[in-house]
Amino acid sequence: MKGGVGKTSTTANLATAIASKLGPGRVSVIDLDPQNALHWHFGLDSSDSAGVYKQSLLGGDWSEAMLASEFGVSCLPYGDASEPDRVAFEALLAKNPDFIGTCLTQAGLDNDAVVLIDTPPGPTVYLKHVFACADLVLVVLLADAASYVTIPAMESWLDDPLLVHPPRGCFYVLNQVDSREPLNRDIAEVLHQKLGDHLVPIRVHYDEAVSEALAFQQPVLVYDPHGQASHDLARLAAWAINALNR
Amino acid sequence: MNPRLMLSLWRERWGKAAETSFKVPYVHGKLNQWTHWLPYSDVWSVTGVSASALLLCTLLMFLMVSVGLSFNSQVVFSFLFVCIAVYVRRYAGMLITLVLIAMSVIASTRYLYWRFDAKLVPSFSLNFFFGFYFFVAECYLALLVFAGFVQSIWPLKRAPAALPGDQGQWPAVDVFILCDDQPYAAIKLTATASAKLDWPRKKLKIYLVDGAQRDDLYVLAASIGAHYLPHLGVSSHHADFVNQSLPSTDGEFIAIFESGQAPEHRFLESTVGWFLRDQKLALIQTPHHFLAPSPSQNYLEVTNSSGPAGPCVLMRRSVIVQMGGVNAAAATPESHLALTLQTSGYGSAYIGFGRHEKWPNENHAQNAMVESASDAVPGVFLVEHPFAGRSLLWKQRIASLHHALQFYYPVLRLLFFIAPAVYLLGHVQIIQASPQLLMAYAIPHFVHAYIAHTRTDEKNRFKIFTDMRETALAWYILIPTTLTLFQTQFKQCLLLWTASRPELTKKSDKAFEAGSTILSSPAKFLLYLLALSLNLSGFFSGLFDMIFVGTRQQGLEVLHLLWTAYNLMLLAAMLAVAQEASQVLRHISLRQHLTAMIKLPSGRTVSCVTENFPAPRLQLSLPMPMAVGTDAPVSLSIFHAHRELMLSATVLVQQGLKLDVCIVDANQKDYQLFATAVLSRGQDWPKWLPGHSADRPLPKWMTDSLVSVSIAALDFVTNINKYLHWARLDSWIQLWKKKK
Repeated sequence: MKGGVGKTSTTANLATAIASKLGPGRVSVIDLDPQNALHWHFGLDSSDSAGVYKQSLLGGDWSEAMLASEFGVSCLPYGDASEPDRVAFEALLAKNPDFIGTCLTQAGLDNDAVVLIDTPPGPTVYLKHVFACADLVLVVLLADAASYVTIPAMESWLDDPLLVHPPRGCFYVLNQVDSREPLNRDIAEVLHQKLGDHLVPIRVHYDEAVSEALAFQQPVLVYDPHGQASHDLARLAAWAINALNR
Repeated sequence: MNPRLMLSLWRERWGKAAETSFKVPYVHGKLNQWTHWLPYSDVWSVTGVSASALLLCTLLMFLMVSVGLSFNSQVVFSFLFVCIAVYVRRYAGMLITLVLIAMSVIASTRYLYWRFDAKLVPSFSLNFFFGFYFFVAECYLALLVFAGFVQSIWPLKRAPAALPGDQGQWPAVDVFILCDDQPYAAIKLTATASAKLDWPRKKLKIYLVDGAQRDDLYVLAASIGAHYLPHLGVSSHHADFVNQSLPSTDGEFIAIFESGQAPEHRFLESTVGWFLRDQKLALIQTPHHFLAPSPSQNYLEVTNSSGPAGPCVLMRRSVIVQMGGVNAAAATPESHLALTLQTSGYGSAYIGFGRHEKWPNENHAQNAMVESASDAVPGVFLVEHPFAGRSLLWKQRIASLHHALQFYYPVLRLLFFIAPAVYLLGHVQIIQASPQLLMAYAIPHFVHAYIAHTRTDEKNRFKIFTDMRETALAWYILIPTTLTLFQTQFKQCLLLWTASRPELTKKSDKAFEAGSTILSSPAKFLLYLLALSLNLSGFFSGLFDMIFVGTRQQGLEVLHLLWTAYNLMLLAAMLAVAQEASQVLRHISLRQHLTAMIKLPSGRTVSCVTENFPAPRLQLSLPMPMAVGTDAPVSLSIFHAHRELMLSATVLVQQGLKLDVCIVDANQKDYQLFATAVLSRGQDWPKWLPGHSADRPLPKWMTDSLVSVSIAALDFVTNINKYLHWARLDSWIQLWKKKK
């Protein structure tokens, strides 16, 4: 929900981690962020695909626009949308509250398929759609003051009675934790106390390998499998699978 | 069941890595709601209801024990009984345990009554002599088992007693750390942990009690603000050190830690409160063990009695001084002291902290069990005669009786080993009964005893381990036991016995080692060989008899052959266990593997595992070789639960996938604090308390089918109309009537 916290990286890396646990062919990611950056993490070219916006505007099947990556995850990029296209897509979504859910059902996915959706920051129309169809929502946070002050705004948005709540719950996950910074450590502790059970008990540590991996257009689990971030993401994947099966 | 599998089970029993797990969590179901509702029902408040229920139950029990049944009815009766027990045992709860114990008592008593009533006809033959001896042995065993049950039912759970709100009113406590002959690292761990105890600084004094003069301990004591008390020329007994230290110290209460233990910071807070609440309480013991749980059935947790060797104790000084100090001559001073206190009207208590949230019938996350109680190993029992003590409760008497009975049990155990061979080789018939009838009575007796035993003593789930251990120890205990029977001055024997039971040795640092010592001395090995050859020759002669001669009763022959096979299996398993090396405590090995993270100056990280956690020179196990030079500064994080400790370190050396680092001086203090927090012994206690799983003696498909058959049978009996309707019996009857 907040910008610049590493949502897109986390989505891509978590998807790879889940795929390595569940086996290839079961995990797909969908980019609903108009910045259209998710596919970079898998070394894919978005011009190979119509993208989610065009496919939706044309009324086509989402599965046709899926790109298979070499990391066991298939990816549906947002697509290089021009401004009028984006506005048109968002208008379509606003008109049709079940649109994404319907498209996912029609995409012909298996019953045991896992779909991760990346959303743009802020309470956008995309987010509402995702809440309507998701089983589990992960809110990525940084252990910094900026993240801390946005929590009340997020919570008030989550308290909206009209919002459909995901059946497996909505959890916060701390990203880029760096215990060398006293402030970072303290805020992580405060968040732990404040959010309690709603905070995922696994913290993803700050690791230079994450940004290096993007430069090499690879998920971090492939780029540096022994790094702490890869370790944390693998544990996060195990936690997520467990939460989904609950 | 081969020796290899037995070895695997044995390892699981001692908390080592095992290949297969045999645990199934208890079920919470309708039955639990029932058992929860039943004791609190309003029915019991009606006058006469509980009395008549008790009368009815007694009558029913008497009937169940004494009624004579034909072979077929006995089979049906015991099958139903076993089915109920198998069904019920999967559920959690104290009432279920009681039901299982009652069923076991009924089955056993019924078996013994039948043996006595029908099968023991005096005729003054060798058969009668052996048969009678065997019957007495069985009665003894049953008594032992019943006494064990009585001890283990109804554990008391009480919360820690609160201390006064004003810290000025808290009593002064002296901490004695027993340092004699202990390595420096172990003493340091205990000393630093003791210095961190939550207690007003002015009221806490720490003493390092030693039998020699050690300079390094002087320095250590000075660095943490403790006192060093060397007692030169004193015997090496702990009790003597404590007695010698009493005059030079003055705290109202004394806590004694053996070095190597790190008390949790709340230790005093959660224990001393009981002294203030109960002015008669003079001794508190807490659970302890080092490498492996005590091999003996440990009823400490449930009877709250004092253990045979508890180097972690709290005492009230005034009472100890009044008693003239701790008696060092006793083989087990703590038990002796507990019993002496008990007989003079003071209390001793055992505290264990259960932090499991799902404690059966217990909702408090934090609970403690405390009861003034005493208990004695047989040696103490014989010295003190606890039955004479007026202040002992009946439960404590039974506990003492149980321990005393257990002391002489090895004699019987050897008998059980020899008995089938006597029949197979010497044609002496010990049990005068048809094998079918014998099995119809004996099998439920064994099955129920097994089910109840695994329930009450879950950690020693497999009775077979107790068998193995007792057999291994029987050789040692036999001689001193026999001598004790005839001698009043048996101190020497007790010492012999103490030496033979590793958990009672002075330092109690050795885990079970009877298996490995079986082959260590020629005399013991000869005894082992004797039992083995008797059973082997019995087995083969019996087999030969059955196949080629066939003079004796076929069924009885098979029964004895099976018995011999069981004995042989135990003997073979002992050989397998003998291969296990004995364990000796050198340093704390608890939680030495923690996950850690190395952060390089470039910002890249490597996830790794510590190899020797509290050591100053920390070794890390890397997933891949790392490009890092000697003396390079790295940042290191160590994780435990939700905690993360970040330290600066320098690389010492890298060998293959092992990286040795040294924590920088500025972070040493944090590192020590973290080590103390991680290794605090209080956190380990819940692991030693009875757990919450039933074991799986049979494969899942077997128990499942048994359970589903019994459910179907119950369903049929309760909904018989439905089934009649389904079978359209009425229409068949009408059809038949019409034809007629």
